[in-house]
Amino acid sequence: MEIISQLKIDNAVHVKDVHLHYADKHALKGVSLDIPKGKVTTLIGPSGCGKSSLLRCLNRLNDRIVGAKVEGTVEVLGEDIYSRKTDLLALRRKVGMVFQKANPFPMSIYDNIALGPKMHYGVKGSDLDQLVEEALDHAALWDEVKDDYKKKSGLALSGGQQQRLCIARMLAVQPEIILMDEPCSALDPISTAKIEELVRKLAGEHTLVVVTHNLPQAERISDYTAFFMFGELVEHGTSLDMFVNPVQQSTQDYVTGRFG
Amino acid sequence: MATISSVQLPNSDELVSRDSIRQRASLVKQSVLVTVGLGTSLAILVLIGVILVKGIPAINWEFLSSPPVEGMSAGGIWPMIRGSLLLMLGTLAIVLPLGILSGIFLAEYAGHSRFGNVVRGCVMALAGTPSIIYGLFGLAVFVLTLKMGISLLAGWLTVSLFALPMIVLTADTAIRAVPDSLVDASMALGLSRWQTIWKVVLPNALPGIISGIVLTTGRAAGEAPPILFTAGIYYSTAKLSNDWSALKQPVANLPYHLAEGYRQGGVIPEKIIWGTCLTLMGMVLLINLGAILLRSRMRWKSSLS
Repeated sequence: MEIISQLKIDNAVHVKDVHLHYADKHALKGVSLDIPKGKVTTLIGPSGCGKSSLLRCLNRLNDRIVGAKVEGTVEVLGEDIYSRKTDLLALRRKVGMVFQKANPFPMSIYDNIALGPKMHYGVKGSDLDQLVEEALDHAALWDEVKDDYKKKSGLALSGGQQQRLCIARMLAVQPEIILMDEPCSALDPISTAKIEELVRKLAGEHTLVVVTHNLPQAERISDYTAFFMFGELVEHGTSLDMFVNPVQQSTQDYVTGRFG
Repeated sequence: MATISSVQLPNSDELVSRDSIRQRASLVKQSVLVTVGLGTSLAILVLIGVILVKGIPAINWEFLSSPPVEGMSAGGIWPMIRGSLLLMLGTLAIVLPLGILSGIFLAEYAGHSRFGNVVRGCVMALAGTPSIIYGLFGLAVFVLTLKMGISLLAGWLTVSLFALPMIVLTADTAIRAVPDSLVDASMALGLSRWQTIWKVVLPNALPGIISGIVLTTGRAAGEAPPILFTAGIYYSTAKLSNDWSALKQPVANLPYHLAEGYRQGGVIPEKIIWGTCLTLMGMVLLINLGAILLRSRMRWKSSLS
């Protein structure tokens, strides 16, 4: 892992004192966190600790949940995304997301990927074809589907392929920030390895925020790690520090597998 | 038996008797279910059997393709078949867009807000309203107030009103059954609400909605009460026009023919009534079959390559 030596780090996401209330739960209790540009940050912690909730604040997908209320500041690429002027569709064009369970649309592989760029950029014809092909190539799926991706349904793929299709679909919109919510939790080790490789490949060009329960995975793929417990951010730092030399006792206990 | 607790459990002899009681009880439950199931199927089979046995002798090409003659006492039932088909097609054309749009509104926009639930409750009440009420409403509003007269048009509107609540509920259910994960995916891609509905939700729900609409329309068109005072005619020597003026004409149709034919006792021979009965049943069954095939085909197309 490279040594992170810059004094001033350029942040893609700036979260300040964020509280998230669901109808009957205080899910985030004053979380402040900066997420550096071009790096992979993993969010770890026991189930229900608020890491997925935080992820869904970053593209305002929490808006869909009735009764969810966010207080505090969330800035994405320098813009306050909870301001009244926020254009949600433009925000989500810049912030893509991959979910725990692969959720391809019940349509052809091609159409799955083409939908986003068609709507956002009005890309058509051979440009669209090229974009779809490149997205599939980026997501390491092209070789497996190149013969029938225009006809074959996204649902006819295996679980790991479906997840890579979802990644391709997200990449085709060309987001700057990529959110992943336990992207490998339903996948076998080989598919998992492919996605981890992909995460590393996308870093640099993209900023990635990955929620995972798999600690070795967090250690392998991330530059930074943030540890959450009971809706609070316990500790945040380079993954090297977090896994080898954490400051807090609870972080130490969690990363060494003593609980969680 | 491995022991983890000091609680006294039945010994092995007692367990054997408990097991045999359970086995006997399950046998009793099973036989009750099988008896009830067979009984119900038998009742339906007898019903269909009687209609088949009594109806088949009347059915031939002549019967299906020619009009009644000799003051309805002989000849075929083609005008009634045509009338029923016309009623059904017109109704379909009205309820298809209305049903889909109302379903979208109810499921996606009204949702489970208080307003949405009130609307849903009203629609449910309407769906449970007896069809004769719709018939009288159609008579009062379309036939008399709007001066459409007893006509195909008034029939379309009345049957549509009758079918719509059931269709809206089907569409609402089908749309809300679309997995949330797909809506999440679409939202996260930055598609707008309308794009999400149009591109993701609707294609998913459409097989269920369309088959629901066809099924309900088929059933509704087999109902006599809605068209009793609004579109039906029993005996007419006037020919149905070939142009739009047919909208203003009443149409003979199968359910009305059955109801009135039987009520007027003796004019129509029993054989013809049974034949009409079988034809109506056959028509509705064919439509149902079509709806089911359509749905499975659409599902198949959307789920696999």
